[in-house]
Amino acid sequence: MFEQVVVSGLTVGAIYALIAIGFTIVFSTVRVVNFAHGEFVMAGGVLYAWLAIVHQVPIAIAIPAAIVGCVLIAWLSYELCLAGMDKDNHIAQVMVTLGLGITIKGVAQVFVGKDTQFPPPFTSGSPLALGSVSISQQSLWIVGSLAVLLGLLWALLQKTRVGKGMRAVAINHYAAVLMGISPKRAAIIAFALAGLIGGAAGAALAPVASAHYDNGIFLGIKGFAAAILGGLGNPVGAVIGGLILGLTESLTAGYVSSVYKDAVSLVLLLAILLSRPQGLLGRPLPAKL
Amino acid sequence: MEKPMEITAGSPATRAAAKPGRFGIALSGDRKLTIVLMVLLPVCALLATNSFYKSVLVSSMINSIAAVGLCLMLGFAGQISIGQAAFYGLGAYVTAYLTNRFGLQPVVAVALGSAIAMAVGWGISRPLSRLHEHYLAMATLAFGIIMYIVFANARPLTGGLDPGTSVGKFAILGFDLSTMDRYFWVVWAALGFAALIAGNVAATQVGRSLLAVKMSAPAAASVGIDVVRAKAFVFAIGAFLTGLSGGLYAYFARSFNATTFGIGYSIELLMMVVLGSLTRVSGAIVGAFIITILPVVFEHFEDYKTLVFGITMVLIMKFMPSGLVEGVFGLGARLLRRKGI
Repeated sequence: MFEQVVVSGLTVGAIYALIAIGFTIVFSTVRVVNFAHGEFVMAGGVLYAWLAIVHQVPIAIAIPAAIVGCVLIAWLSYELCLAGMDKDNHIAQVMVTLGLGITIKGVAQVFVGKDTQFPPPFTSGSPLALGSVSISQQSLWIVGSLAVLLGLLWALLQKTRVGKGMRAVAINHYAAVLMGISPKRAAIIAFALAGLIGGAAGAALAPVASAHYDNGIFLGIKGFAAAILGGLGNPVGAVIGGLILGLTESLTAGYVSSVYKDAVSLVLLLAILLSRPQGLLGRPLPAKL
Repeated sequence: MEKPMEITAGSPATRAAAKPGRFGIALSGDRKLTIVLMVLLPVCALLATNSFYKSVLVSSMINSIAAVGLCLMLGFAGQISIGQAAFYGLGAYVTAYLTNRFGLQPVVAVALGSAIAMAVGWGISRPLSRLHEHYLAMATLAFGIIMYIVFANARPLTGGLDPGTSVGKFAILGFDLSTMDRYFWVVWAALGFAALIAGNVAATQVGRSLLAVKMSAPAAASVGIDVVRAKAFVFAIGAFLTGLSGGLYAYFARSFNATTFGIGYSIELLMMVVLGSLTRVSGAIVGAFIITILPVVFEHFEDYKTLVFGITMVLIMKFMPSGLVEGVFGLGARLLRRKGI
């Protein structure tokens, strides 16, 4: 049973990690905790279900289409709402993202509907059996997407001009501007990436955990918790945070009580925050004067 | 002190340092606005023709008390909390439990409920004082969710999600105050009390030290402010007011379950405070009314309710980033200037 619990914990953890990466990318380039991010993930699942079930679009088209939809939503979110706001008024920006999240939820409710739906898994087939452990194909897709997207993100941030520009903006906004890097462009790319990764996470999760317009807040909180746990602004931290959170939940549900699984993982989060206020991999916060 | 602090014009500290008025009492603009609101409320209650409007009014006032508490924490001391629903729930459950189990007078039960919420607020502030900004937001969020899970599952004490808890009628020494007309005055008095506390905090040295902590904790420490104590103070008072609001809610709803005290309420409170004004107590009250009443107004839109609410939020925060009260004041000032007055 232990192996089975670990496998399901890693699957859930991979989803949290994917969501956390979106938080982290946006935070490091725009310096805003995007509370609408959970809704991007929800949109990924809901759009995929809407295309695949209601419109009978083949899976191979529905998945990329849902992800592209999420990228568009994320891009529009930045362009229409956050662009042009006072950079230093964090609380107003956070509130705009909260309002944005409610708006996206409202759009989903009106245009897609309120039904809970289970879209088809990416590939149908019997679960893989490894000794006593059985792994569903969708779990493989989820963990696989995390590995592939993380690799692509690493390549983007380390090897391309665009990615280097984003890192420069993250390190020092003003110095980046002086070097001719457009922070606005970096912000748009950050949001588009968050939409892409979040949308992919949502679409991959929907066949297992349903697609519903009200799922966003829950997913967002889990992703935010994972990002904070690993240290906000650090993609590797986000992945580690997500996996720890997923494993803790799964082990608690398996061995203690499924009712208190969220409480136990959050107590762990609090314990880590109190001993390391900057998260596991975060840099120590300089005292602000 | 002639010049309390070098702060940008219009900050609470400069506003609080109002000149003594005709009666020798110094009233800041914020306090005047709060008094106007407190006078307007009974007028609204008189004009509210049916009991539904009256109950919306009372629930707005209950939310206002909690919003005033968060306004002190976030607006004055810069301590963000996304876990206020925990204190709200503590106030409500302790009040209900004490009344049902020990048959305490409702007023005593509400007072004890708020006191326990306050003790918990003080207790968590000590460890939390190490955390800043987003990390503090996450920690309070986690605290709120943990408390919600406890409320929902500690069924012997709270009734959980189903069947929930119910309390009797609100009465003082046997005098029934539970009708909406009478309960209005109970809540009105409590809101006045909350606004008085908050106004006093804002206008005195305590409030100025909170502002200093908000601007820079190390700088505040360097001029002799005990930062940890200041944070503990504001957490305690914020939790106290939110607990008070929860206790009053218990007698307002009479029957409630754990869903009321979820993360949604914490976020709503945050919206109230930011939407009204971060730096004015009156702003918190205005914000609480807007956030409580908007969904009722949008009720006719049915499925479009969430969408319209979200768009309204985005528009207000994008175009009036320092809150509606500030925004309206700014707009008025600009119009007057244009007319050359």
